[in-house]
Amino acid sequence: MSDVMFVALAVVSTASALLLVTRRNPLYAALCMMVLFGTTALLFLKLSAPFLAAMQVLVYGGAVLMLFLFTIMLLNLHPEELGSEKGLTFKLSAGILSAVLAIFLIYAVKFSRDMTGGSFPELPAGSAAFGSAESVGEGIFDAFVLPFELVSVLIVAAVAGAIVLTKKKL
Amino acid sequence: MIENNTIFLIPLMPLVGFLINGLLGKGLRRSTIGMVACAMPVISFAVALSLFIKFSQFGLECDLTFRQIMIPWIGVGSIGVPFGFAVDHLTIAMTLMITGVGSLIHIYATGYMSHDRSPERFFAYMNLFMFSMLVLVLADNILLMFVGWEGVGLCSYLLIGYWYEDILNAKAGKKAFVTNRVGDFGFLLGILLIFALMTGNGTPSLSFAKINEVIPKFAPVTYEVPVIGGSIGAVTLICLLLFVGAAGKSAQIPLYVWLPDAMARPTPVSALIHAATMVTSGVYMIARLAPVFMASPAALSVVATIGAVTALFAATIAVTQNDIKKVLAYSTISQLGYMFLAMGVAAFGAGIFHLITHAFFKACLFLCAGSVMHAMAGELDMQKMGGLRKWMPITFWTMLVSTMAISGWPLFAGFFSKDEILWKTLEKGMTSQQGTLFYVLYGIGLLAAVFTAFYMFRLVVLTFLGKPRMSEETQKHLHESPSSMTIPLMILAFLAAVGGFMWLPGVIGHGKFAWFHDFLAIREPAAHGAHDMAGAEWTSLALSVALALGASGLSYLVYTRGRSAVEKLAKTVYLTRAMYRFSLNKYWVDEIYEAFVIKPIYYGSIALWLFVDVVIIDGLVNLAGILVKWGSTIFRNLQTGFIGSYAVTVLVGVLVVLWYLILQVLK
Amino acid sequence: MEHLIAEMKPLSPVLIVFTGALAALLAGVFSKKENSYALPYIGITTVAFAFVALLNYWGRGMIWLLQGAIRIDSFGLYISAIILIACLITFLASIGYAKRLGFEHGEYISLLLFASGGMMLLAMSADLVTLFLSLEIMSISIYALAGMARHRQKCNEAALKYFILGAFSTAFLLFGIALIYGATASTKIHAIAQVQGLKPLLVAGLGMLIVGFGFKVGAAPFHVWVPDAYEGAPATVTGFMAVAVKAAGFAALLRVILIAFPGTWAEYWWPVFWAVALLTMFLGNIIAVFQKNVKRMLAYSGIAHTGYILIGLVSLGIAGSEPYIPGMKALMNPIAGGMLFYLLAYTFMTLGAFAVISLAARDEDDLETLDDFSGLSQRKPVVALAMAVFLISMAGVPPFGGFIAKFYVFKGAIDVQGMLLASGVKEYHALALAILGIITSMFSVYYYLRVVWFMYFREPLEDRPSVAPSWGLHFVIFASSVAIVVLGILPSGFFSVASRGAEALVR
Repeated sequence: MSDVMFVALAVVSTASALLLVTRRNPLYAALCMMVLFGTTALLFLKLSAPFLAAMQVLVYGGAVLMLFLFTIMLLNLHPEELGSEKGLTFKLSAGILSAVLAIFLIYAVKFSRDMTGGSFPELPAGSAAFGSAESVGEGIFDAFVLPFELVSVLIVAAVAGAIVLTKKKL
Repeated sequence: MIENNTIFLIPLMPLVGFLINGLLGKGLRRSTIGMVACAMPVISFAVALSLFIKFSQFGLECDLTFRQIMIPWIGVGSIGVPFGFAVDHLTIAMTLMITGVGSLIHIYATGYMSHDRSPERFFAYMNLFMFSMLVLVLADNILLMFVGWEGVGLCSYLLIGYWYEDILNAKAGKKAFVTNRVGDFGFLLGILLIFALMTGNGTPSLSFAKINEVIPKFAPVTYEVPVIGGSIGAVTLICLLLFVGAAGKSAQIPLYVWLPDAMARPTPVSALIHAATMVTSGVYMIARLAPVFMASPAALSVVATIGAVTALFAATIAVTQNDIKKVLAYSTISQLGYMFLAMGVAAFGAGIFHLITHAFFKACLFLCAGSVMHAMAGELDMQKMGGLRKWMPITFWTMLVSTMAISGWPLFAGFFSKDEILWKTLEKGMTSQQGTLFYVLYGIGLLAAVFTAFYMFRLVVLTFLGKPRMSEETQKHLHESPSSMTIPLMILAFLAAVGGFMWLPGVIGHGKFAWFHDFLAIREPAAHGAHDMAGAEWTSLALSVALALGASGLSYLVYTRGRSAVEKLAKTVYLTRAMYRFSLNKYWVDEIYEAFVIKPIYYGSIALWLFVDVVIIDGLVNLAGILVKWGSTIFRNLQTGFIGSYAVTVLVGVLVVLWYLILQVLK
Repeated sequence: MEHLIAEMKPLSPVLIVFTGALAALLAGVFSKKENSYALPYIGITTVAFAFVALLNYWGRGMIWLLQGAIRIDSFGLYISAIILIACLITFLASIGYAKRLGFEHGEYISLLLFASGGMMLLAMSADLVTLFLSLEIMSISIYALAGMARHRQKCNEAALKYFILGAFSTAFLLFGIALIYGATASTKIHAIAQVQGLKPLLVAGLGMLIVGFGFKVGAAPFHVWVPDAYEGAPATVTGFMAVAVKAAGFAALLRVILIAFPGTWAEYWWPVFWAVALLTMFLGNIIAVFQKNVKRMLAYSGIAHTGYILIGLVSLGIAGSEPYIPGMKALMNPIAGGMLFYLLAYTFMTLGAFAVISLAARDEDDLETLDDFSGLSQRKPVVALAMAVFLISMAGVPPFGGFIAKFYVFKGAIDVQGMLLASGVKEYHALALAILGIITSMFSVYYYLRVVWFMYFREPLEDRPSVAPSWGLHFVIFASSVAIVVLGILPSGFFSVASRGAEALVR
């Protein structure tokens, strides 16, 4: 049962991701992204990580996607302003190569399972509550305190960069 | 090993000259520039002379090295390579020659370049060249020698640039570039191999003294050659790699092609760089590493053979050239061949002796040619000269003296040095086990000497004797060169005449008068019963004299009297006509290289570039599309976005890397 | 809390840099436009302080911080020093240049400092999460910096291309980290080596990491972004990009490869780097020959230099995969030291060359076509001489730093080969790479000398309005050329520092 559910979620999320990168109209792309975020949240839930699932919906589905949609609507681009379509050849070759990459990775996982008899490494101790609010909180303020702080530096740098590239008058 | 702290002054002075003229030259007066440029090599010469006097105080035969370690340079682990200079007999002989002849050429250049636009640049490069050359010669270790080696190469390019618009686009420049790169590649690889062997032996040093002591011990070590099969001795490999370097710098077959093209620059440059100093650095390098080369008879045979063949090959080309500097260029290649022949028969002293006498007479010849060009407003074609003796007596006489010297007329410098080489070759043939090879090389050497005498007298006769063939207009402007040019000519001619008395043949007074031989004796292998072969040596001497005089006389007769008849003969009889055309066209070597080496490399590079850019990147992108195109009639615009094709390239890289790694793991 | 502050203390160089970045940002916002000339000095002061803080920790051994997220060791400090030097030189060179191109504002200074801080962290990361985040801080700042001269069409294009391709490659890096985590359940770099199972997954992760870092250091075939980005970005930024991004990328690459995949793991990765190094050297050098634009030529030359540095990594891999050969281990530290020395020499040559390029040929453009260099020796003799020194050094001609650097790298490969032959292993990969490296570097002289040629033997084209370079630019050009000469003549001291830097990775 859980396998069926996983496969269904995986198929939907992959399909929506594919649609997301192939749509020309940004509005449709954003809608595909919504589906993608939703299914990803469900996958998190299925991995018993409720906090991550909630964050996925709140932050990505809520905040980020809304920003995208606002921007797209504010710009209100005409179809001819969207630029010309990439050649079919490019799409095909990129598609084929990506598919080969996917096959490689699937095989890497398969070979690994064959070699070790399916025993993937155990998660670190205390991971019973993996993905819960407590464990995420502990992670952020204990083991990953520096990365957590670095994210804030990253955001400041990104904001400064965005301003400098876009602001009309500096 | 004696510490001496004045050595660094020898290379330093020209560097100071370079800095003064290079940085401040624009604001200086023309005469000041010339003064500075000439004073520096003269001071170096004086310092070298003082060192030489110290040597002679210890007696000629005393094996002695002055050394000056300036600062540590490269250190890797336990290896330390210092900035250091070492002066032994070989070095001081070279240094005196370089600074002495160099000073004369600088003085000459003040006259020759008197009408030039920016003499400060010219003299700055000349001084920089002197600096690099002296570093090359004085270096205490092979890595520092490489610094000088690259330095002289760089200066050579810079001085080509003085005349050419864009040398690296010009054909000549490309040739010089490619051949010298091949040479440097061999040299650098040789150095690295020496480094590896020295480290392996636990004597981590690159000083010549240590190399000469340690590397010969590796003679029994052999490497298997991958791909081809068979094996090669470690020392032989080192020697051959170093010889590739030497052949590149000293213009030997097959890397000689750049030297004739290098003649298109100011004559003092040709005299200094392409006759007296830089081109001889390959010979010097071999002499410096003599014990290493002696540990590999196979490599020595290669050196001797290449040298002898080059000597003859270049001499046959020189016979038909009409450009006065081209004749001298091929003559230089030919004489360098003699020096390598000397190295190859382990007659290192004789080779260096010829190197020095050659510096005298060839510098003189080039400067005379420059003097002629100066008078003839840059004309180089001997067909349009003749009878210049009337207007330029000093140039004529000095040129005649050095021509006699190079042709091997008795008692002139070239006679003694060239004959010493030929005799050592013959002696080697008589004493060594593979005698045949050296008998053949001796024969080739003699034949080359005949050609040498012939083409040199042809040059003198066509230029200075006979009826004037230039226009009336030119005749009016003919004049002897100023004294700043003729005085160096006379000094050099004097040296060319008497320089040979430094080393009289062993048969005269049982070697008592071979002072220079004694001076360099440390480098000579023990002679094998030389006294028993006095008869053979006399015969060899007599043969040389007869051939030199005979060829000179024949040349004189042909080009004063029967020129038209002989040339007619040369052009009608089938065999001689073929030979004439071969020689005139320089055996089509340039064309062959162009077609089989340069063009393939050039187009290969372009092809690789296009291949990667167009075929791989765009091709991969297009491949899928082409498949679709074949299958259906869908024609979309096939334009590929740049970022897209870049990303596809990266993706292909990812796939190859992953594919390889996963396969490796599964093994 | 106090405990945390005490623990953060060794991180002070990075913290100083980030603080300086914030200060520059605020100063830029609150100061008047006519005072903006003072902004670079904030950056210069910050770098100076950070450098002092850095020296304070040199030679103190390894310091583990924050639950193993950071390891401050000689290697990280050495690379950080290179990055700070690059940053300082960029600030100095920007005086005047930034004003001319209209980006003399706080954000420029701030982003440079943010990027430097990120790079320093990258060099010190001992945890793949920290490593990824510092890489992103660096990358995001550099993307913005590349597009700094907004009125230039080429510049915008360069920034956009760099951004998209950068994001693309970062995805691979992240994927690689995820795979490695999947195989080992750990993101600690030193913990990875202990895991033996799940090799295919781990190795796939390794491959992805190689791609991600290969992209940052500009190794073929992941070099595709380099020419466009280098050509389009403003010259000072290009110099910073060329040097600091490469140094930081190599730092992360070396740390991950040598610590996470040491010893016999090298059997997997050295052939990959062998092929990559070969392709990189050939591609870089050959395409550089056909470039008419000096900036683009230097971009390809930078690619070629990456190839030479990679020779060192291959030698380390070959040496590491044959641990039973006596004496092999002793070779490894000098080889790694040679690579670090190469990075130092490369820093000065490249930053110096780009500083010269930032001299205006025409009002706002860089000095970039070959024609712009025509007769430079007559217009600006000292600058031309310095440029000649940089180029000749890059070509690997003695007696400059570039020669010594190449010498160390080639010597390392030959030494490893010698050791292999001495113990009867008949494989010639190291030798082949060294020989091919020497051949390509021999021919690279061609395109470097061509620029020298134009500077010295061509007449200047029509009188171009030349901008008087600022004192900072003059200082940079002078100091870099002196540094190159010193590195060439007295390399021993620097090499021993570099070897100590390498001690943290290979003893």
